[in-house]
Amino acid sequence: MQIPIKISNDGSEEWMMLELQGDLESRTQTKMSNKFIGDLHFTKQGVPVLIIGHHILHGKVMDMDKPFVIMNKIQTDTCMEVPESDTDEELDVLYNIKAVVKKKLIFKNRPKPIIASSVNNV
Amino acid sequence: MSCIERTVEDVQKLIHHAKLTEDELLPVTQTLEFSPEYGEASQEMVMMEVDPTLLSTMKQGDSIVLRGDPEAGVVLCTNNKTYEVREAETSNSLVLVPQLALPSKDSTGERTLENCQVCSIHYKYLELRPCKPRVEKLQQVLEEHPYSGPQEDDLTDTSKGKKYAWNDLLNRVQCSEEELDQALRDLEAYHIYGFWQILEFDYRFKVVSHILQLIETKSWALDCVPYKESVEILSELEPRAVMVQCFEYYLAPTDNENESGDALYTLQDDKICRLCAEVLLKSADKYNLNEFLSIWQQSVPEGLTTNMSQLEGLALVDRSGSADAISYFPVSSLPSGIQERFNCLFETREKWSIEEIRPYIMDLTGEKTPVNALLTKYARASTSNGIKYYSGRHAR
Repeated sequence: MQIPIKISNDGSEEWMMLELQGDLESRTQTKMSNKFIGDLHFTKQGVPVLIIGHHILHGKVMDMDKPFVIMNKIQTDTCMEVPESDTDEELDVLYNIKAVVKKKLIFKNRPKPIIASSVNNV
Repeated sequence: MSCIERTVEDVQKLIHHAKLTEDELLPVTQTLEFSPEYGEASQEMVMMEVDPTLLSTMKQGDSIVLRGDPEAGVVLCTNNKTYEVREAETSNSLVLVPQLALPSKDSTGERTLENCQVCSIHYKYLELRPCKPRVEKLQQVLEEHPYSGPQEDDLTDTSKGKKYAWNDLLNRVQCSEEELDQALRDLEAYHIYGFWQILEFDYRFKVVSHILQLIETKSWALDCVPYKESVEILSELEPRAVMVQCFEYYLAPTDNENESGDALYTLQDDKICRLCAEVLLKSADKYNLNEFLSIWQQSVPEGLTTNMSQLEGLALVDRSGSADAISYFPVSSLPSGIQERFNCLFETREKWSIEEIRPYIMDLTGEKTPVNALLTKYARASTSNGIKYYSGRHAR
């Protein structure tokens, strides 16, 4: 069986990736959509600084030796022409490359807690 | 268009809490949040690691196809290369943020907020590794329905298996189109009425014999066989498509033409001799080597010379008895898995010299695994009378 990979017109779009140790979890088991995660700053030296909740992380910008392509699976409509001589139905699925990731912000160190000098709701 | 009501003051307050100063930070703060569609099935995305060369191939718009097989997993194919696809896991979170930007280091001004949405988080990605084309299956597939001549076009005959067109083959065989094309040539496959088929052995010999007889009848020199004239005459005997392809498999073009402008071809000695040997070897279990060599030489057209190197991977010589014997042992009949192949070889014969075993494992070699590397891994070497022999690792 064969699944073609297509690159869409905006496939040359470049996305960015954050690489974090561990996992991003919500303290309440609610849906993540629309939830705020944190603030990302860059120092004047170009070091990314990420503040998530009560944690601060210092990272660095890395060029990836091997880029990532980001694909989504597309179920094409049946109105597409059926290729002759072929009986496998799987052909109406394809992977579409939406974007390429060439750089990432990597946060290798464990997050440091922020000890609030004045206790406030953060 | 943030869904979160976050103000510059909130951000500044947090900077202060974190014991950072605004002076050391660039003025743009990117506030991260999950997109409204985060976690929805429609947003499901796959990440695949690709090397820069492959990426540029993709961007040129060359065809890229995943070819899956229920047992062998998935490969990715470009026009001419095959890569094994594996899933890799990481304990880190890979967070995709499409809009995230690297700010310019000399930007100044008031603090501003840019909203960035996380569209997905990944713990797995696909890894690609260049691999050999997995063409073993091609032989198996083509053997389902070998072509045995024009009489079989009778469609009511359902005793034979499926026939495969180009795209059917690509559905079954895990390799790129260029590699498939090469593999079809290596197997001597024919494109007949839209399907790729190998010729049934007796029929193949019959077709080649037509060519040899024509050369003899016309008293042409073996290296001066006119292409057009031959194909014209031969097409009266067998389908033109078969004759043309057979001609090209067993003869090679020369740079010469005859007086009527017809391209001249030369017989490929080794292939003809090998085919004649195969006819003989298939018809008996075993031959006395000397007898075989003499019948074989008589069976080939005058002007061709047989020699043992033409039989590599086709026949085995047994020198253990009082008289040397030869028997049919084609590499094409052996398993394609490396371990299975070695098991089978060492079952057939306990000890092999390097010259003997090489033709039977050549097709298993890869860039990083030449014959020697395979032998080191799958066989045990021993020396007897100054000759190095290879036997099974677990042989007694």
